[in-house]
Amino acid sequence: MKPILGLLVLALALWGATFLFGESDGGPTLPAPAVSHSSSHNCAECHAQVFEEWSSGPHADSWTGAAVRKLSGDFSNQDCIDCHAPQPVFVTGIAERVLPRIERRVEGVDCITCHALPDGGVAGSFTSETVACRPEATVALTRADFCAGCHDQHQTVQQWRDSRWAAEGIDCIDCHMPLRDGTPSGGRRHGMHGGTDLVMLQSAVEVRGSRVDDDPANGWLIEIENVGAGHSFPTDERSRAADLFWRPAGSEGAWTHLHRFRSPYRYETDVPDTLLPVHATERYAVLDADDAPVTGPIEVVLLYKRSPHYRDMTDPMQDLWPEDPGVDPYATDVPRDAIVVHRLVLGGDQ
Amino acid sequence: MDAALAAAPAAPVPEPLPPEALDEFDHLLGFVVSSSGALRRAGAEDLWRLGDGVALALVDALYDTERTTDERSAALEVLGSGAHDAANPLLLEVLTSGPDAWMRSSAAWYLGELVTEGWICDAVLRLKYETDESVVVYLAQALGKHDVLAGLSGLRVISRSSWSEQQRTTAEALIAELTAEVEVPVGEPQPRDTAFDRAVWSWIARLGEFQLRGVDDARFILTNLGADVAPHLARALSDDDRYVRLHACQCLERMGSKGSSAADALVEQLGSQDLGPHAAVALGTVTQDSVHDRARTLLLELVHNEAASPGLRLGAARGLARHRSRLSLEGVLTQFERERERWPELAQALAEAAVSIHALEERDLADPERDRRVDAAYRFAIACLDTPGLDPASTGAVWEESFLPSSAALNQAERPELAPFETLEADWNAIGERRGPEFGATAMWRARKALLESALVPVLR
Repeated sequence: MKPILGLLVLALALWGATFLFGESDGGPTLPAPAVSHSSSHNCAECHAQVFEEWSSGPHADSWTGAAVRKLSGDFSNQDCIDCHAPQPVFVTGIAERVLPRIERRVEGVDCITCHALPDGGVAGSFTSETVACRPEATVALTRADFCAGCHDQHQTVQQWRDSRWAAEGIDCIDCHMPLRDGTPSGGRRHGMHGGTDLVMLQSAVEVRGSRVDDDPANGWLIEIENVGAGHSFPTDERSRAADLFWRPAGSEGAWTHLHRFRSPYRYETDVPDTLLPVHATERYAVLDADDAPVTGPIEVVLLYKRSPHYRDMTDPMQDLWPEDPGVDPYATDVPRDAIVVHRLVLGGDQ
Repeated sequence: MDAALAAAPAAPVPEPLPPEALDEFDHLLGFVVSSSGALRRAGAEDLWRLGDGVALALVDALYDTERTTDERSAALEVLGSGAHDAANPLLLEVLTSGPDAWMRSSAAWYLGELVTEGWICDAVLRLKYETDESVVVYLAQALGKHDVLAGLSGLRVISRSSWSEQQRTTAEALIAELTAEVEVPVGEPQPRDTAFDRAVWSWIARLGEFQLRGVDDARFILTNLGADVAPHLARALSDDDRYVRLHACQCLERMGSKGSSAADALVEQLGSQDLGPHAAVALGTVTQDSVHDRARTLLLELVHNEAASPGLRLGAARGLARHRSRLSLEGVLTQFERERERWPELAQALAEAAVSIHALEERDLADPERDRRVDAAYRFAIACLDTPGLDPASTGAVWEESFLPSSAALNQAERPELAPFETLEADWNAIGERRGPEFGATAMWRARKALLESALVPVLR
């Protein structure tokens, strides 16, 4: 009985370690020589799925993406380089600001940025002497402070620290690096999606309509609540914006801009910060051109855009992300990068 | 942080005017408004006799929209013409926060009249955020009076693109005036007063901040101040704070040859683990187009030294591309040939160096083997515009910088191999300006690569 109990305890201990630190390599058990990692492509051989996820995400795109190339003038604005091609976070220090690197800038925020240790080792979710990269279990990888070097430049991590999510122990990775199959042993996704993912955008905020004083004869109030973002909606400064528009239901006519959620870029000294704070709910009365309450059926849309410009605020839909994947949304002066987050019809037959 | 900064006294905090003095203040301000000439000056002097607190009262009067325009204008005039210590920080405040352009323009003008120079850093920063053209003109003029030419780039934009013909003319005239007055060799620091030094050190300290807003502002100021702050930045290269060290290095790199006085300090940092790669780039940049054999020799040695860190070798190669000495060409070509198969990123930097040095102009028909080596580097630099894993914009920038010099060389001598450069710049820019739903960034680089292939490959061996 004792040997069986011992095996059970050992199995539980191993399961516990996996639960704590994430995926297991499941690889060979013989000692393997350490290998040096001079490029994230070195990691792809063993971590093909992780590499694939990262490659399709915004971190991989941080140097080569069309949006950042356009906004930074192909990085002629050198101030952008620090965060878009950073040295390893463990080298500059957790919660410290990152510094720019000289080499491999095209790889952007890559495997080495997050996993390279100052002594040449590799930070991981478990320790192993048997796999090529010899990872060391490093809990700091999972903490919000790890992301802060770049993402607190615009207070995103601070917004999270001030939220209930932080008190509940819900970290950045819980939303932006979800468990691949719902269990720690399956590892976490490395796509790092946020504003680039429609499902995440939709889960961040709810948009509702109601009548003033709940009286059907009164005008509409549009209510928007930050229910799921661990930070303001949207977060970051400068380019990201979310806009509420409305028009009479059933109309194909012009849209009317109701409200913009955005933190202005530092040059825009006369533009107020209108981000929707974490957990906050705000309401906006729908008024017509004469400032009279609108009582008839209306269509409401919440658009999210990575660049805060529309060619025509009465026709924002012309700037929607192109359906054809071969079309570059950043090829035009005003990028076509708007995404419909929520769309609802209030009143009438709906 | 540097001892020079630690020893700097804090800026004085202006005291408000006592309430019992406010009636006298209003009376005297009214007297200034209704007077002219010597009487007006006497009224201003009497206002200052009310004490330092008059400075704050003058700003309050300036911003008070209930007052007449004459009163508000007179308040600013008294504030600016007193040359009073208490007035200087408030003039800067008006320059940065004044709600109306005329206030900011006037504040700039009065600051320019000051003998002291502690205001210059903040005035340069205002160039980054100011949106009113007339204020930019006044600021550029004020800075120019103190031999600071940071406003030139803004003036050039106004002279090219202002909707106002008068503004364009004013800007052009000021550009001519400011550039005609330059007698100091580029890169030679001029002595400044202690208030200037104190302000410079306080901005260098901000290079260590966590938030990049302050860092970006500091980099803007220090880069634009040029040669006069290069000695400060050279000292900051050995600061205790690694952020200060690295960002000081970036400032030197961005100011180009104006930072040449820091070359020796950069050489000392080549062995630094964290700063070395960046110091190598900066060293090549601050010594660009100059006879600085030590920089060239050191950078070449680093590029050839396979025991050196990859970052340092890459930084050295980029430094050589900035240094642009034709004496480097042989060493650049030799290492390019070694690296092109085994380390494309270093080969790219070396090919960029070959283009930057204008190696094509160095061709010698009597030495076809060497010409073939030059041409191979040029072909590689063309291919870099569409090679996965390499940054097309890096090589693209080097190509852009090569068009004009190569075209100029063509005009000086019969060089058929340079003939394509005559039209390359226009065609290159035309591709960059093409807009259309099918024309993204990658397509742009492919089109530019095709342009270079069609123009240059026929003349390459």
